[in-house]
Amino acid sequence: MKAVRSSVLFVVVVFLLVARVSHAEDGWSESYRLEALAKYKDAVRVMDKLIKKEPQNDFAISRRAWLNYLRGAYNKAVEDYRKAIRLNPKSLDARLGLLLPLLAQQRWREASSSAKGVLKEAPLNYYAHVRLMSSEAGERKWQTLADHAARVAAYYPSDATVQIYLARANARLKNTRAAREAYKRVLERIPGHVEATRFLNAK
Amino acid sequence: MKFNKPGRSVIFTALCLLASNRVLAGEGDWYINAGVEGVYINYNGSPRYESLLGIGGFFQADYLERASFIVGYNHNYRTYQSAASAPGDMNENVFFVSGKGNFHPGDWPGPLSVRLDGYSGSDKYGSFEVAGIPGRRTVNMVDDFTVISPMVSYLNYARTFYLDLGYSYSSYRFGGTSLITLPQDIDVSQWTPTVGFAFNQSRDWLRFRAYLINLSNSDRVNGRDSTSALETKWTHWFVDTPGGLDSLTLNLLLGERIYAVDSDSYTVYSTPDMQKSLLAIDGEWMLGENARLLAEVGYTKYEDVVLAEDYNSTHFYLQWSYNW
Repeated sequence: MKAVRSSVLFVVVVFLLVARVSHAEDGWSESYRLEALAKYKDAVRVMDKLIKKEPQNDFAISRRAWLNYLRGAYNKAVEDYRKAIRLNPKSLDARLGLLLPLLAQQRWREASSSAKGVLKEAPLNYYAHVRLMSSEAGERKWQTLADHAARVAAYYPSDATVQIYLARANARLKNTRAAREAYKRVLERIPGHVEATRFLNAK
Repeated sequence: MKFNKPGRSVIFTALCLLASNRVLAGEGDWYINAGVEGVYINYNGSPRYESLLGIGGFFQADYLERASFIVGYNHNYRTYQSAASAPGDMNENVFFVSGKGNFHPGDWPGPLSVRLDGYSGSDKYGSFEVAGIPGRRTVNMVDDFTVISPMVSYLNYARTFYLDLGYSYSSYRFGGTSLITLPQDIDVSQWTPTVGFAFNQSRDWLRFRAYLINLSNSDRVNGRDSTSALETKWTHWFVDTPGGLDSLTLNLLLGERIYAVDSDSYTVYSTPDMQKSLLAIDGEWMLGENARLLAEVGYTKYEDVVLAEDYNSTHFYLQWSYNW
């Protein structure tokens, strides 16, 4: 009788544990479902509950930061990305994520500083380079941007975004020939690209 | 607020620390900017003034977009008419410091900035002789002034809408010889509510600033106790930067403004001349990525409130600055 009672207790405990894990998984999937529906605020609420249970989960905090960024709550996104970085200082994900709300807030210098921090550890990280370029464009450092984009373009020859930055910087520097060449390369990668087409037709 | 020698040493030490911090930081979190400037004003029809020549400079250290510190100095030399009613030429020295912090509160769609400026200056008039006083007939006059100027401002992240509320308290204290009747001391409080917005895809910016000035009872302003003026600034940024020209700003001031403090240009109007209107245009040239040149020409109408006479001036201003 005692063995039966123990077995029943064991089954109940396992059931409760499975149910808890299943609920947790449901929370994650629910947050992805709500994100896909662009219901970012609701998705943030789901993440709030998950983070309450696991306050040290840096991925959960990064994910809430991302959702806050998507819904335009940039200060909360910055706060969460910084929290995630404190929990996991090696997280390039969180450090790259932090750049998004900073750029959205036009905090060019802060974004530039953070991007350079990532590049110290991962010198060829694509996202760090592109987001740093965005910051350089925001600060209107056209020569710096042109040099930077030209360097990075060699490492990512199939990429159009870097070519667009290269073209824009050269256009601002009035290096029309270099800008045209870069925009032509953009069209090779994205035929019909509006900005490139407009520039090449106008000049 | 006066910058005696120890005070200047403190500022110098602080600047050195800021500069060395920047080097030590290595990631370039400190942004240093410094500039020099010059102004020439020619007065027409003034019963007192002939011209003014001024030079100055500033040093600015920004920590990312979070905080900004500025120290600066201006020296102005104003020549006077040789009429009996005028004192000798005036030498003006003004030191100013400014600190600003940017904050990002909760769900606010833009940063809130808190700024505090301080000015300490003196207008020293050259010796002149007073008729009818036997013996020592040479008179010296010094007008010392101190200004404290806090400001709270808001700019949305899209940089299309701006609000600020500034306040300045200015205290003027006359000193010098007692051989003549000196003008009374005066205290001035100034409120400057401001609103600005961008249009034309943020290539244009329009800003309105009211100057609401209260004056303590003083013979300096002929019994006036308040003045008000509206300043309108329209800035256009060029996409194609013709000739390197980055922006043009048109500045129009209407109304009456006296003993005003201009927080844009860190200028204290320290003489008792009522500005009745001002029209100025300035252009800003970007000289590469790090240097810029600002040139302004302007026309101002004044009233000398003591002598009750109108006059006008034309000014030319140049500023060159470089950031590291």
